[in-house]
Formats: sequence, structure tokens, C-alpha cells
Amino acid sequence: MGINIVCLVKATLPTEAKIALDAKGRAADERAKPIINPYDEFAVEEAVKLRESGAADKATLLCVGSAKAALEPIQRGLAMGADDAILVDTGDRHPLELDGAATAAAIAAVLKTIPFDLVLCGRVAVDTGAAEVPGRVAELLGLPLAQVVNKLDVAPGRATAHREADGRTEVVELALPAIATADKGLNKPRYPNLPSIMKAKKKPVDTRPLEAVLGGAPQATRRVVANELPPGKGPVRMVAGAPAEAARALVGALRDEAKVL
Amino acid sequence: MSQPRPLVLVAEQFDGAIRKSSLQALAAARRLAQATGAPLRVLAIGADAASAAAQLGAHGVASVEFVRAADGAARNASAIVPELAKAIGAAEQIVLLGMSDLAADVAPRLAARLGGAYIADATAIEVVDGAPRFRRPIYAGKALEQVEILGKGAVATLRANAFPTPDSNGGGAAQVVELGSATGDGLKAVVKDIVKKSGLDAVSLTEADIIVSGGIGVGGPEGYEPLKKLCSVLGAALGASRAAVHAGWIEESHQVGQTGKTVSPNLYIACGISGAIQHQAGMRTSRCIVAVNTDPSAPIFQLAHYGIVGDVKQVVPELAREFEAALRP
Amino acid sequence: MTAPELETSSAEERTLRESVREFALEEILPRVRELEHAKRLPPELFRKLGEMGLLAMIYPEAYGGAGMDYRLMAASIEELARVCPGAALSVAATNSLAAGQIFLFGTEEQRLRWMPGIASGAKTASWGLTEPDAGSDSFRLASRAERAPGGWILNGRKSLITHASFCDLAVVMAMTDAGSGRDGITAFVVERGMKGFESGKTEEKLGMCASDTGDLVFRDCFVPDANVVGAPGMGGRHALGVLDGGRIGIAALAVGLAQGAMDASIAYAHQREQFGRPIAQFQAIQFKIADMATKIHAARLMVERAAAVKESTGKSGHDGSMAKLFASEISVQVAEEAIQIHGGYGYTKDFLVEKYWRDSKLLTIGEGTSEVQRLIIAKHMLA
Repeated sequence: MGINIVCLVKATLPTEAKIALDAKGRAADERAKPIINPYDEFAVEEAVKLRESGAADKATLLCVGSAKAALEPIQRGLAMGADDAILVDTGDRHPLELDGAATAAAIAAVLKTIPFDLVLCGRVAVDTGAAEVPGRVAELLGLPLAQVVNKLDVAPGRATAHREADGRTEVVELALPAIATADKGLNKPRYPNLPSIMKAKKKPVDTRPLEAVLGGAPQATRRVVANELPPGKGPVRMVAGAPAEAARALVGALRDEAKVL
Repeated sequence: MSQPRPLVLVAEQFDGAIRKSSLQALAAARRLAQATGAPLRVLAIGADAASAAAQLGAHGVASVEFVRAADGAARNASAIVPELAKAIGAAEQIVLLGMSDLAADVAPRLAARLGGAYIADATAIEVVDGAPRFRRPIYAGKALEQVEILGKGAVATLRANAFPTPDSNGGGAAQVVELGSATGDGLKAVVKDIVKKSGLDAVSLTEADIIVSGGIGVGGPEGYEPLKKLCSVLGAALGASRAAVHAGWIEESHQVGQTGKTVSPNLYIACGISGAIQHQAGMRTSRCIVAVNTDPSAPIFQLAHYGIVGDVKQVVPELAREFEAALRP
Repeated sequence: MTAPELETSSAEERTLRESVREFALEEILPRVRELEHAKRLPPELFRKLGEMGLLAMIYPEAYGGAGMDYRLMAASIEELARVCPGAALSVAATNSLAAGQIFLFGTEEQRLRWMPGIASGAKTASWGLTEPDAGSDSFRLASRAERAPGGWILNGRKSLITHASFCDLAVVMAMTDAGSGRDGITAFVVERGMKGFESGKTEEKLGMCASDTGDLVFRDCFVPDANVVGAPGMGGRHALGVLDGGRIGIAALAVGLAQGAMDASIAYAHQREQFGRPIAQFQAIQFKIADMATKIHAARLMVERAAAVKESTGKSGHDGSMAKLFASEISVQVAEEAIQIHGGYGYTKDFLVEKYWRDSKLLTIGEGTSEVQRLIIAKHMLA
């Protein structure tokens, strides 16, 4: 008997999207179509691999989002080999409107209704960049959690995760059921092949309205007052001086001014 | 605005010292406390209370509450979060942490436990109508959002180096109140082993945060050695121009440009690359571009944010030295 | 750069386009020039194309196919051609020609015998109709097959055949009843290793160099009865049926090629600065891009229409010919404008637009020239 895996997948804009402010002043790329959050692909790949190896019996996708935006990540995940999907439909809400607390509450509520041993998701969604939901779900359900995992071994009743943290490799042992968030080194996600894409459309997708899942309207913990674009590039700043002197000035500017270190 | 929400700064002790990002968060918390009139509590989490008290005292903290997290609990958020939540208490407040890998793990769980918002990776805080407003990057820094807290309090992590590091004022040790001790016993998540990394694994070019890239100006295949050294200092990936790849100086897998890889790191350091349009196509969306080239009229300088006119062979080793010093924790 | 799509595109089509595009960018783009110089697709890439399900898209799973419809096949070929028209040509030919004839007109036993190998990329297939003296006049075949005990003796030469130099099997049309013209033609599957079957010369071509083109030569080659596809005498009619579907593939290839050339032009127009600003800000460039986009859009709609007609009636007919005619002609125009937008750089091999242009020219010729398409369209209009 293998385990049941739930993969949390999210629709995000592709990383190459050209972000601008829309008519309502919100950051958006009106031409870019949502895709599966790239880190979630590592989670789906890991789940499908575990199922193929026999360690897992089933891989279910769980997505919180609008039905339209979520179509693609769900289709993609199913084509990669997941067995079925649950969509928590957020209706007409703007993609970033629902905050992490409400998203986690919805996910936890769904997880209470289905059997699972392992929850996998990407280490961060590339739109909000917050990495907020997995920790909240772990707290809500009292599950052990390993974040930013680049190696995962699943054995009966437990999983061993390797993660890179603060310049070291930490080996974390989790008692199942547990949550792990995937980093890019975990595996190499497959591109679904054509027969799999054709089969995906026949797999079941269970759609549940957000309000029904939460038993009411979501409670916001935060409010976005405004979005803005980062200041544009000015002219090049030439750093003069002898090599040692120029190097020192440059590194200082990168740290204090450009803040890229 | 009624009463300002009290502030709690949680400092993290790592390898025996309070993190630089924690000290930066401390200074930011103090400024926020001044601007809003809110009281500020300082908590520290780590293995050595005396050392934390001394270091925080030297930064002007009079009293520090200490949560011990040593041995099996030191790197385990499952062990730390409940103790920290207990120590902080359930009042409506704003908890600030300097960002680190441990803080990224601890903070959202703490927010769930305390029942407020989580503000991740803030890069600026201003006070509007007596309440803090956080600025944080979204879409990988291509946009920013300004966020206010609703209802209950919040936990916020502050991006490392986004806030200035305060100088030590030479004060004496802070008074310590030990509030609790996290233990690694009876947990469902156990940190079994911590391996310090030796040498850097190959970093993927397209996903790297930092890329050091070399062109014809490096002078030959051996010219990539100092660049590789710089990569290992920065945890960066190594890139190359088409010309250098065609010259056979470096493998094709490193090529950035129209016919190579398209990259968009936070920092792109172009060494001895003239910046042919072919190359620009692959890297122009990088957030910060640094160019080092002997030719001041090289097109790469049009694209760059910072430039040094000089010989890669002389400048790059100096850069490696300076970055190493700057990144020392 | 997201996949081009219509608002009506299904999620399935989007996933498909993205998946094929990722495949093309990862497995093919880095070696586009290498494939061109190699003058063929290596067996290992054929296997990857097979694993991806790209070699037998419209056939049922029982034969190793992906079970797709013509519209999705066209979308896949388009995404491949956007990156590498040469590889897309090999894929389009593999899907439509030999596999098409075996699937449509072969016995169940023949389908199970040959199609899974073609679908997986383990076996490469050619399709032989054209001869040195039979191009557009395609049924004046000089190749002859004569009755022998248990089979046929085949003699002749096929020219301009895709995958000729390394194919493992070929569906070959030959005269079995010289007096009957088109109705005297029979289709044979000739397999590598059969005595008297060999590859002839390989052509040096203007473009589409990643896809090999050459001669197949038959000298007293014995082909057993089990290798006859369809009834003797029906090969000519069957070949026309195969070409009817093949046009959709070539038209989709043309749309993808044009899209790739336009993608490159848009990227370049944003980067290239002259007179102090990106050339994308000049109307001269803007108008070119607008025309390219409009032509591509129209061609794509025509391909979708032809695919829908093929799907519902089994024959793309004049819709297929119109799509093939228009898409191939605009692909040449768009690729040429792409070079113009790139200026002097466009003429160099540092950029791929010169290759798109060279590749495009084949599309107004292969699988029925523009003139043949016009004949089919005119015949329908004037009937």
C-alpha cells in the first residue's frame, strides 16, 4: 500500500511576464496567461515519480484560484501524471486578492475532507514571493513541515528531506502525514507528452466554491494599499580608480545602493 | 488611529552571534517605535543568552527576553515556533524579524499561531496615519506592493540589507529575562543532521541569482579561473559570450545570448564582454548589470548600471576579495 | 513570450503548445545550427520526438499514437516550426505520409506491424511518390512492379524523398498496370535490408537542411505480398488522400515558421537602437510587424478551418489547399521582412532569420506546389 499525496498548485504569471500597472493601478501583465507556478512543477513531478515508483498510490492536485486561471495549472499537473484535482474556486477575485491566511484556511479545510499522507508544493509562488501558505497549513493542521527541500525520501510512515538553509544542508525527518515544499534541485520536471495531455482531459476535477469551503466569506489579514513599479534604470554609473579602489567602491554601491547582495 | 500596536523584535542568534539582518531589523523597529510611539520589546532566540545580551546591549538594548533554542531545537522551526508564540503572547502586536532561512521558516507559522497577517520580505516601512505601511516586492521584484495590517497584528520579515546596519554604541550587556526553552523532543519533524557544505555545486545559469559572465576580454581559457573564484565567493553561476564559446575557451552550456541561454538574475557581472546585441538579448532584463571592460565605448556600458573601465585580469580578483569581505556574516 | 493563441483556444491546446514549445526550446533550439550542418535529425532526437508523442499525433493509442485531432496536430507542428522548421518538416512528414497511408489503407496487421515503430521513433519512415521525371505530374511514374511468386519485383528511383538516406522503411508508389494511369499504381512498404533496395544521393539544399532529402533506388527488389498497402491499383488514389491531410501539416509548419521569424523580429526591434531609440518606435518597423502579424493570424485561422473540415468530412479539399497556398506564401514574405528588420545583422548567421527565410521557400513547393494548390482550388470553384 502506497501513500496518498496532495500537490498544492497555483496559477501565476510566467516569470518572463512584463509587469506594468493596469487601469486600476494594480501590477499585472494583461497579455500574459497564467501558468503553473514553476516551483509547484517540482512538487508535481516528485509526486508523480513517487506514484510511478509504487511508493504512492495517488497524486491529487489542489488549487485555490479562479476557474479560468486555474485551468492551465490543473491541466498541466494532470498531464504530468497527477490522478485528479480539486479546485477551490475563488470566483472573480483578482489573482492576488485572497491573502495567505485565507488561502491556507481554504487548503486546510479541503485537506480535512480527504485522506492524505504527504502534501507537496513549491517553496514559493513567484507572484507574491511570500512563502506563506505552507507554514500556515502546517500550523492549522498540526503537520510537520520541511521547507525548500531538494531531496526527498519516502519510507513507510516517514519522509526524510534535505534542505539548503543558511549555507548548510539540513536533513529533516518528518513523521507522516507531513508537508514538504520543493526547491529546484529536487528533480527535473517532465514536459508532458502528447498522449498524456490527451488523457488529462478525462481526469476528474472536483470544483468547490471558496465560500462553501470556508463556510463563509474569507477574512482578510492585510490590505494592499497600492502597487508601484521599481524606479527605472538611470545612466550607467562609472566607478573610477585603481582596480582595488574601484572594486571596493563598486561592492559598496551594490550592497548599499543597488541592494543586490 | 487609536493606540499604536506594540512592537516585538525577534533577534536570531546564529553560530554564536546575532545576525546582521536581525540588527538591521532592530534599528528599523526602533525607528518605527519612535514614529508611532509604540512600545518595543526585544526578544532573542538562540543558544547563548549571555552573548546575545552583550551584543544587543552594545546596540543600545536595555532588556532582552531570551528563548533558548539549542542543540536539536536550534534549527527546528517546529520546536521554536510554539515557544516563541508563548513568549510573545497573544496581544495585538507587530512582530519583526530580520530575514534568514530560519526566519522564512518560522515567521509564517508564528503568524498562523498568533492569528495575524504575515508580511514577507519587506524592503521599506513608512508610517501613515500612525500605522506602519510595508513595502515589499512582488513578481520577483518587477513590482512592489504597499501593505497595511488589518484586524489582528502581524509578523513581518525584513529583507536582509534592505535596511541599514546600525553601529554598535558600546553599551553594556542588556538585562536578560529567560522566557522559555525550545526542545527537540517529541516532535514530528526532527533535524537529524546538519552538513556544512564544502565547495559550491554547479549553479544553474537560468535560475541563478547572480551570474558572473566572461567574454573575449578574459584573454583565454585560463582567464575563466578568476571568474570561477568570484562565482564561488558569490554562489554565482558562470556565463560566457558567444565569441568566447566559439573560440573554444569554455563549454557551450555557459553561453548567454540570442543563441544561448536567456537569463534574468538579480546581479549580472559582465567581464570582458563588449555587449554585442546578440549577447544583450540574453541578459538585458537582469536587475542590476555590472560591466568590466577595457574599452570605455563598449556597448555593454549603455546597458550597465555600474561600470569599471579596466582589465578583467586585474579587476576581478579585487572584486572577489571585496565581495568576500562584504558577505562575511 | 507566450504561445500565440486564440481566445477560443482550449486549456488543452495551451498545455499542448507550451509543452511542445518547451520541448523545442530545450531539445532543439540549442542545436539548430548543428542539426542544419548534420543534414539530418539524429536517431536519438527521433526517439525523443517519439517519446513526446510527436510522431503519430492523430492516430489511436493502439498504434502508438497520441489520439489527437488535426487541430491539435497543427498546433504542435506550428510550435515546433517556430523554433526549427527543419525538424518540424521531418515531424510533419512522419505523421502524415507513410504513417497516414498505412493507417488509412493498410490492414490491421500492417498497422500493428509498422505504426508503433514509427510512433516511437525507433523506425524512421519515408514516403515515395515523386520521381526524377514525375513531380507535379505525379502519376506518370517510371517505377514499375511486376508480379512474381508470393510478391512483386520493384524497379525504379524515387527522388526528393524526406529521410531517404536513413529510413528504415518506405511506402513507395509504383506502376503495376502501365496502361491504367493513376489507377494502375500500387503502394508497397519496402524495408531496409531488402535485397535491391538502397538509398541514392542526398541532396544539397537551400534550406530545411535538418531534414534529410534524397533518392531511394530499387533494383529487382522483391517485395512480399504482405507488404502491399491497399488493393493493387489503388495506390494512386490513396496517395492523393494522404496528401490531402499532409497539406494541413505543411500549412501549420508555415504558420509556425512565420511566427518564429516574427518573434525574432519583435525581440530585435525592441533591442536594436538607432537614432537614439529602439527601432520598434519607428513606423517603418511597426508597419512591417503589423503586416506580419495580420498575415500570420489569417493563415492560422485558415489552418484551423482546414483542420476542422478534415475532422468533420475526412477530406480537407480546397480548404486545405487554400490554407497551404496562403500559409506557405506568407511564410516566405514574413521571413523576408524579418531579415529586412534585422538589417545587416539579418544577413549574417549570428541570427536565425536568414535560416527561416531559406527554410520557408520549400513550403511553396513540397507536398504540392502553390500552382498545384491553385489548380485544386480553381477546380472546386469552377465545377
